[in-house]
Amino acid sequence: MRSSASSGSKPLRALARAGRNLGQFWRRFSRNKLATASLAVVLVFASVAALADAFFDYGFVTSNQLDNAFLKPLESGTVYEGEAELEHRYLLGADNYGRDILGRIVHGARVSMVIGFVTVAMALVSGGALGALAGYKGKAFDTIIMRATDILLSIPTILLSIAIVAALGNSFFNLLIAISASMVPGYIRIVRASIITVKDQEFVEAARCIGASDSRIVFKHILVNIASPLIVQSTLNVGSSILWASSLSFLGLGILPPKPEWGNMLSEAREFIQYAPHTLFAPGLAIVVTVLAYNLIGDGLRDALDPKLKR
Amino acid sequence: MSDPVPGGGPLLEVRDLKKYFDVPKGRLHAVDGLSFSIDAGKTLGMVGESGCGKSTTGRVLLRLHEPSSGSVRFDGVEVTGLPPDRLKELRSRMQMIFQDPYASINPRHTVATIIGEPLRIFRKVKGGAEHEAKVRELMETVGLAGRLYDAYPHELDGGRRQRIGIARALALEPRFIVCDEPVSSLDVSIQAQILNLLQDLQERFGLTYLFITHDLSVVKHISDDIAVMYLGQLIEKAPTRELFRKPLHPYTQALLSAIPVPKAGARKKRIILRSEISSPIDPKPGCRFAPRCEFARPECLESDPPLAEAAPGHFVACRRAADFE
Amino acid sequence: MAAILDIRDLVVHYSSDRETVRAVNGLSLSLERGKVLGLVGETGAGKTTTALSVLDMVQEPQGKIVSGTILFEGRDIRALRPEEMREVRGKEIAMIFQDPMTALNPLITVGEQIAETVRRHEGLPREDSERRAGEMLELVGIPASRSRDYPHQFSGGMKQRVVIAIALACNPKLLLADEPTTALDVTIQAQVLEMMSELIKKFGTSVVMITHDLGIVAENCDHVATMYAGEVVEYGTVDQVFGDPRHPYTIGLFGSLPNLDEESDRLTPIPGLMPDPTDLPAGCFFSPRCPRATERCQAERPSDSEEGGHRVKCHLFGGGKEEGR
Repeated sequence: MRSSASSGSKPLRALARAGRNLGQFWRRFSRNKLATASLAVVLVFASVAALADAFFDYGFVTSNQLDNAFLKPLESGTVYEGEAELEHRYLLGADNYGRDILGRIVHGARVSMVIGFVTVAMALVSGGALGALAGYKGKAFDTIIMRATDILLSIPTILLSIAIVAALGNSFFNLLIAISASMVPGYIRIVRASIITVKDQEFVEAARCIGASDSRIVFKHILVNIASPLIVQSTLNVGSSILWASSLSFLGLGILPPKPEWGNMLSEAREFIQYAPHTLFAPGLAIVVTVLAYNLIGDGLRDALDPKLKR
Repeated sequence: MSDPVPGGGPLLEVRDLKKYFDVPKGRLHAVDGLSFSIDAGKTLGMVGESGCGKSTTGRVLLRLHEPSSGSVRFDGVEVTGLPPDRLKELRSRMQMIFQDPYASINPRHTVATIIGEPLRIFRKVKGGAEHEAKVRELMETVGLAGRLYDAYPHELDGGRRQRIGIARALALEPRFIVCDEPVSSLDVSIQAQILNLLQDLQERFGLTYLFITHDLSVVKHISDDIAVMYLGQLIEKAPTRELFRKPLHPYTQALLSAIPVPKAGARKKRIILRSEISSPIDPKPGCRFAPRCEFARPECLESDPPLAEAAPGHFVACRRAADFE
Repeated sequence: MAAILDIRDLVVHYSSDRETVRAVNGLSLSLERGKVLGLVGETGAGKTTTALSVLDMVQEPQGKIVSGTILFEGRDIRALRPEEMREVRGKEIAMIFQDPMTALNPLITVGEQIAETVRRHEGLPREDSERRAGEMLELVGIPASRSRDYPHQFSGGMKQRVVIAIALACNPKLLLADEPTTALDVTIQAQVLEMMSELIKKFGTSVVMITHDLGIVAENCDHVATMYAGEVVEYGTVDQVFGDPRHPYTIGLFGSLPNLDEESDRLTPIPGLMPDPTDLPAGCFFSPRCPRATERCQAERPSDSEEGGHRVKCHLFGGGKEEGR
C-alpha cells in the first residue's frame, strides 16, 4: 500500500512525492555500479574545477618557469613569482615551459566543464525548439527544418566546426557555437521523432479535448514524456563535447596556449612524446576518464529512466 | 431527404457530416454523409465494426478532427467553423471519454494533476484549497479513493484509470459526453462497474451520451437509441428495443446474429457474412454493404440507398428493407 | 475415456529480485480426447501462463514451473528433453496466439510459413510441403493462389485464418487457442469460429480454448473451467456451469454481463479488483470480493468438491451437499 497520506499541506506532499520519485530513481540508478562510480568521478572533477583557484593560482599555471621544464612527476623545482622564489613540488611533473601539469589539468577541467555544459545547453535549447516545431507543427515547418538538418549533417562535423571558427573568428564564444552546432541536428532529430510518437497518443488528444493550448500540450504533456531520452542524450553529449573541444584545441582552433586546456596540452606535449611522455599522459588520461565517465552515466541513466526496464 | 429524427429539443444535431482523409491510395471516406440527432438526457449508441468511422465521428463532433463538410449544431450553436476562443468555451460543455485508459492519460502526471487540469485551463476555481477540494469531490464522484490523490497512473489498474478519464471529462460540468469505447479494454467485472457508473452519472447530472462501441450487448444495455454504421454511413437507426426486436438492414441482422450468447444450448442460427469489409478508399457508388449482402440486386449497386423511415422512429438505408417486413 | 491432457497441481511463479508473482497456484485440469475445453477468466487469471506451461514455454529465467505434473497422452511434459519437446511443439501440440498481426513473419510468404512448419515436423520434400500449404489455405477459406502473398496483404481476419492453418498444418492432437478471435470484429469472429469448429471436428483435434468471452464458450466448448487468481474455481460441462453456476465468482461474471435477451437496468458487478498476484489473500483468493464469504473463507483455502463431474472450489459446497444454496 502506498504511504501517500491525505493529510499534510500541499507543498509538503509535493515534496514527499518528489522525494519518493527521486528515491526510486536513485535505487535503480545505484544498481549500476559503474555508473555510480562514474558519477563520483564527475562530481570530484566538477568540484575540483569549481575550486580550481583554491588549489592553483591561474597566473602560476600560465607563466613559464623554463628552469623547471620537463620535471618528472613528484620532482621539485624553484619557482619565481615576481621577486619571490619558492620551492614547488610538481606532483605530475612540468611541461616544456616548466608549468605545473596538475595545475593546468585542474584549470583545464574548469574550461572543459564549462564547454561541456554550455554547448549542450545551447544545442538542447535550439535543437529542441526546432525539433519541437518540426514535429508538432509538421508540414512546411517540418520540411524546411528537416532538409536544413540533412544539409547540416552532410557536412563533416570537423569541417563545419573549422568553417564556423574560421568565419566568426577564434574566440571562446565562437568555439562554443562551433561545438554546439555539431550537436544541434542530433537534438532536432530526437525531439522531432519523440514528439511525433507522443503527439498522436490519446492523452494529447484528451488534452486538446479539455481545451489545452498548443504550448500547454507541448510543455506540460509532450516534453515530460520525452525528457528521458533527452537527459540521456545530453549526458552523452557532454562527454563528446569535451572531447570535441579538445580535438579543436589540439588542431589549434579552440583554446590557445598559454590558457590551459586538455586538448592544447596534448598538442603541445605531442612533440616531446619520446623525451617526456608524462606530459602527454596526464591530459590524455584526463580526457579519457571524463568522457568515459559521462558515457557510463548516460548508460546508467538510460536504464534507470526507462520504465519498461523497471523490475 | 427525410428528417431522421422528428420531435423537438435535440441537444445535438448532425447534418450530412463528412470527413475525408487524403491517403496515398486516394481519398478515404471515413464519415460519409452522416445525419442524426440526440435529445438532451438521452444516450445514442453508435455501433459498427473497425473502420466504419464511428470513432472519427466522435472526434469530428468535438472538432478534434475538422469536418470536411456538413453541419454540427450543439445546443443551437453551429460547431463547425467556430473560432478558437469560442471552440475552447464549447469544449467545456462537450467532453470525451477515451477508449484506452492506458494511452489516454499522461503517464507522467499524478491523478490530481490529470483531473485538475481542465479546472486550471478554464480557471474554474480560485485558490489551491478550493482546487484540491474540487478535485477530491470529482474523485469521490467517480469512486476513486482519496488516498490515490498523489498516485501515478502506472500504479493503478485499467478500471481505476478509466475512472480518472471520466473524472477529467466531468470536471468542466459538460452537458454532452462522447464515450468512445470506454469499456472495451476492461475485464467484464470492471466493465460492469464502469457501465453502472456512467449510468449513475447520467442520471445525476442529466448528461447526454454518444456511446460508441463495437459491443452490441453493451450498447443495448446503455442506449435509448442505436445507430448502426457501415463504411462511414448510417445504415439503420431505431430505438434500442425496436432494433433488437426487428433489425431491418441485412448487415444489422448479421451483426446481431454474430454475438455469441453466454447460455448453454443457446446457439442460434447464425448469418455468416461472406468476405470482409470493403475499402473505404474511393468507394464505388451504391450500397456499400451490397458486395457482402445475400439479398443484393443490381439496383443496389446503382446509387446510395436513402435513409428512410420504415416504421415510426425506425430508419433504414436499404432498398430491399420493405421486402423483409 | 483417457484424457489427452492432464494437469495436476500446477504452480508457476514469475520472480524478480524484489517480488514473486504467483501466476498459477495449484491448477488441476484434464481434457478428454476430441473435446473442446473453454478456459475463462479475466486478465491476470493465469490462463495464458497455463497454456505456455503445457508447451514448456514459460519465459525463463523469471518464470518457473515450481511444481505439478503435466501429462500429455500419459507422457510427462516436464520430463522431456528439450529436443523431444521441440518435436512435440507444433507437431503434436500447436498454439494460436491472440494477435494475428504479430504471429506471422512479415518477410515470408504465408504459403512458405505453412510449408516450413510441415517440412520441419514431417520431413516432407519441398514440393509436397508447398502442396500441403495450398491445401491448408483452402481449408481455412483462403484461395491456394494466395500462398505467394505476404502477411501485410491480408486483413486481420485473414491473417488469423493463416495462423490457424499453420497451427493445424501438422494435424496436431492438441490445439491451444489463446483468445483466437479477440482482436477480430464480431462478424469476422463468427466466420473464423465457424471455420475453426468445422476443422476441429474434421481432424478430431482436442482444444483448449482460452477466452474471456462466456458467449464463445457456450457456443463452442464441451467443458468449461473458470479461472481466478491462478486456480480453477469451477469446472464442468457447459450445461452444468452455464445452467447452474455455483462458484460466487462464476455467478459474479454472469451478473457483470449485459444480457441481450432480458431488459435490465443495472448490472451487478463483482465489487473490488483482482488480487495482487504478488500478495494473494489468505484463505480463498476470492474471499475479499465474495458477497458470501465467511470467516472460514478468509482463513482456509477451499478444496474441490465434486458432484457429477461439476467441480467447485468453494467452502459453500464443502461438507454437506448443497449447504450453501
